[in-house]
Amino acid sequence: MLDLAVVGGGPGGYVAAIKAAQAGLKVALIERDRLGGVCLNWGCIPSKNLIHQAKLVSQLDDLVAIGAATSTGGVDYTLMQEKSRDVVEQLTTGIRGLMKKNQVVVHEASASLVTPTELALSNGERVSARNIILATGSSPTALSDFPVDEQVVLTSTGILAQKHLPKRLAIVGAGAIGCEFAYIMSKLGVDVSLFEAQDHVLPLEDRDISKALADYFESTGVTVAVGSTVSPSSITTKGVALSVSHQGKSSQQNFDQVLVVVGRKPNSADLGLEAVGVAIEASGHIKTNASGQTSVANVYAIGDVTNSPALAHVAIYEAELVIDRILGKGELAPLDSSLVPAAIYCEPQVASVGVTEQEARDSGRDIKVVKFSLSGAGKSIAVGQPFGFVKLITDKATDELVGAHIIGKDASEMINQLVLAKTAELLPVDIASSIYAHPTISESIAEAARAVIDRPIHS
Amino acid sequence: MSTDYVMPKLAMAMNEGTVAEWLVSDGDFVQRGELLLTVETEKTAYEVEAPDSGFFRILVGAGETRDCGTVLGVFYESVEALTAPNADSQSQTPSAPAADTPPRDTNATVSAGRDTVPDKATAAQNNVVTSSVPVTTGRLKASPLAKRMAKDAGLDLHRMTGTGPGGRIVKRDVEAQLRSQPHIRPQSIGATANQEDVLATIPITGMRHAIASRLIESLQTTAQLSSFWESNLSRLLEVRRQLVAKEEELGTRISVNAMLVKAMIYGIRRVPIANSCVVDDQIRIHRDVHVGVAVSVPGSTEYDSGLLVPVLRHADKLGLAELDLAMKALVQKAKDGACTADDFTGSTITFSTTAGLAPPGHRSTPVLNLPNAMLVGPSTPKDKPWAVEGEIKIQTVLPVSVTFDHRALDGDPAVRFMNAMHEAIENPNLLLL
Repeated sequence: MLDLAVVGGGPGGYVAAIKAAQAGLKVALIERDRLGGVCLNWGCIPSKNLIHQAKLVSQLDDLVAIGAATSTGGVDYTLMQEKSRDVVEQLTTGIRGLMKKNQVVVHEASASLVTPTELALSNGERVSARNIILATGSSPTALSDFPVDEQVVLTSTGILAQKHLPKRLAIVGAGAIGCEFAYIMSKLGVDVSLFEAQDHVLPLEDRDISKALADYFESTGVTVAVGSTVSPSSITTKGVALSVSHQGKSSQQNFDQVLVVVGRKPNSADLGLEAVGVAIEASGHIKTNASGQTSVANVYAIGDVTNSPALAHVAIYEAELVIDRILGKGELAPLDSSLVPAAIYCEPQVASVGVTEQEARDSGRDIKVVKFSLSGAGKSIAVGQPFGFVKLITDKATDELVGAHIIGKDASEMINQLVLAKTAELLPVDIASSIYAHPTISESIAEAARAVIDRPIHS
Repeated sequence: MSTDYVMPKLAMAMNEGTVAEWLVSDGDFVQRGELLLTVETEKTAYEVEAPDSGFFRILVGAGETRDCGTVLGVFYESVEALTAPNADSQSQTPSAPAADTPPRDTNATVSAGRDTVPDKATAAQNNVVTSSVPVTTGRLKASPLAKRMAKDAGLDLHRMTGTGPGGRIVKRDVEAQLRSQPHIRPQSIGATANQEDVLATIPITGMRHAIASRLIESLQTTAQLSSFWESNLSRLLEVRRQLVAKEEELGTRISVNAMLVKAMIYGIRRVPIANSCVVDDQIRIHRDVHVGVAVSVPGSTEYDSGLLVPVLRHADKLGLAELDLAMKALVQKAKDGACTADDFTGSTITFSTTAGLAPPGHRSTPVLNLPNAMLVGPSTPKDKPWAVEGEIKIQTVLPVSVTFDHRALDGDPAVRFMNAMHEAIENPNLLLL
């Protein structure tokens, strides 16, 4: 009998397998598709590569605009796609190497629980282990109106797989994924319309940030329709006609393709959960306690299949928590969602940690809010990216940093400073008293902190 | 190596608690910060977090009641220790040889890199999370936020156990300490060697800081005006004597204070703006009367005092006996340190008496209790010659001082309120209304 079997080889699953193996446990990892999971194969990683390439195109366009370069004559999307798949290939190979190095046995199959210590694999094999971690992730949520064929009606997986660009693309859902594709596709010359049912894009983010991003998108030619409802009036192999209801007006709009990105649902079916008594919530998420244990003591669940924020870095932290628990160590604190950053990689980037201004006010907290425009940092002007701001929300009584929100160039890199500050419980005075390298865009964070303690300089 | 888990002291007035439910199973590995058990007191139920990590042995079953500080369970570092034949609470096996306990993993210990001196007196006093809270004498590891919060609350970080990375004291540790000890005594009492003439040093932190900052804010942001008058108390005292004779039937010995609050409510009926607050550039005149009652409580030393203003809700809906009982219960609760934040919010007018403490006939200029626009401050009555129906008689006379916010009330409504209250004190029949 093994010490541990991990079902699912995404960022949570493979990290759990490696960490357990490093501690001397005998470990098997079962993956039905490809190591690395959605994040590496059909999510974060290939999209980040496409974003990078889109940004290069956009930078070339900037040079053309000032006459410093001649027209590039368009892009070859097929080659761009190949490049993004190369990146994926390189990283999955890396994970395979790590599995081998740590002597984790990898099974290419799907699995379901037969008993709390035994899994039946789709290839007929059986795996027995004292502890089992379910890390099966999530899949795109489908809308019944939009039958997915990955040709005309696409999920994020389909759009990352296709080798040609549409002329007109509708994106339904302006969450992180919708906004990232709106950026990529519009930069590559696609005519993009972004539809969101809620009254602002990035519904989980601070309202100021959402508004700034929507305004920016519109200034770059993306049509943004918040508070809108859409349904297909006809879908053919050539395209889709959408009935759009927006600001009290109805219209019919034609697109080559529609990308449906309205959230993700947990992959908790067909795991044999009922058979062994692992409880799930009405939403399908597996119920767990603060250390990842399910209702069956030796069965754990981590990542998107549970109710915690569907982010790779959350799954990785949970993997470490569960392995600590199995090993009987207790170095990590339970996941505190107020310390989990979110990052959206469109241009301008959006990143945040902690609560939004709205949430802070709704909770009745007495807060102070400061904003510092990135245009106040010399570097932002120098590199021609002055758009955006840093917004800090602090508790009036204690100065505790309760929320931090950034929109602008490299926001996803800058947010980590504030995650560190918030996790270490630093106060604005600590940040304001630090010496930041000059010129950097990060100086905006120090400036914002200075504003919190009423010592602003560049504002 | 094991750590005892004792019945925590969750409120200043708590002496014992009942284990309502264990939220972990016997033998479970419990992670620091996870919910461990539900403790019930006479007043409320608390969900309590685990202060430590380890394999947990339950020693006291659900439904059992124990004094604060009594061992309820033990955290063990390993399964082996948990299942060892003699595994038991440290406090129950004091003779266990030290050599039997292996050194703790330096990454995991709370006191890594620090000199610690067990301080039994502190442990008994604190009773916070473990049976022995060490006093740190070496370098202190605490987050800037924890330091700020501890300073504001007057807590001594050296007497706290850190649960952050590497034993660092973090926000949740300070919060846990605040929950367990709402009114901690500052540690720096007493003269230091080179300051022999200083009887005591009282840091302006915690309650003292709250009093200081609120009163300064009151004086600096309002237009305060104080006024005085005297009322003949003789008839009210006669009515009270009759009510006191009925003490058994009424279930309480009616106090003069309760009758004065009634008179104040009569005044509010006649002049509603006396029952108002100034908030966000608005004067809010309230229909319901929630009386902030100033209560003197012990300070951090024998020399100073503390002041709390808990709120007597819906005073206008209470009959005289109910009002008297409710006010006495509220004052006792405040003195017991059992009030919660909710008890201190929402007053619409303030009642602050110095009767019995101040010399007879005493007057003052009380400072407004924000955001209330009116404060009524009666003091100690005085027997003096008084004209009664054209004759000079010796009467008991009550001095009353009020302070009001001139932003909300001008002289006209303010003096009409005072006059109505005066009328009700001198004609206690009006208190029946």
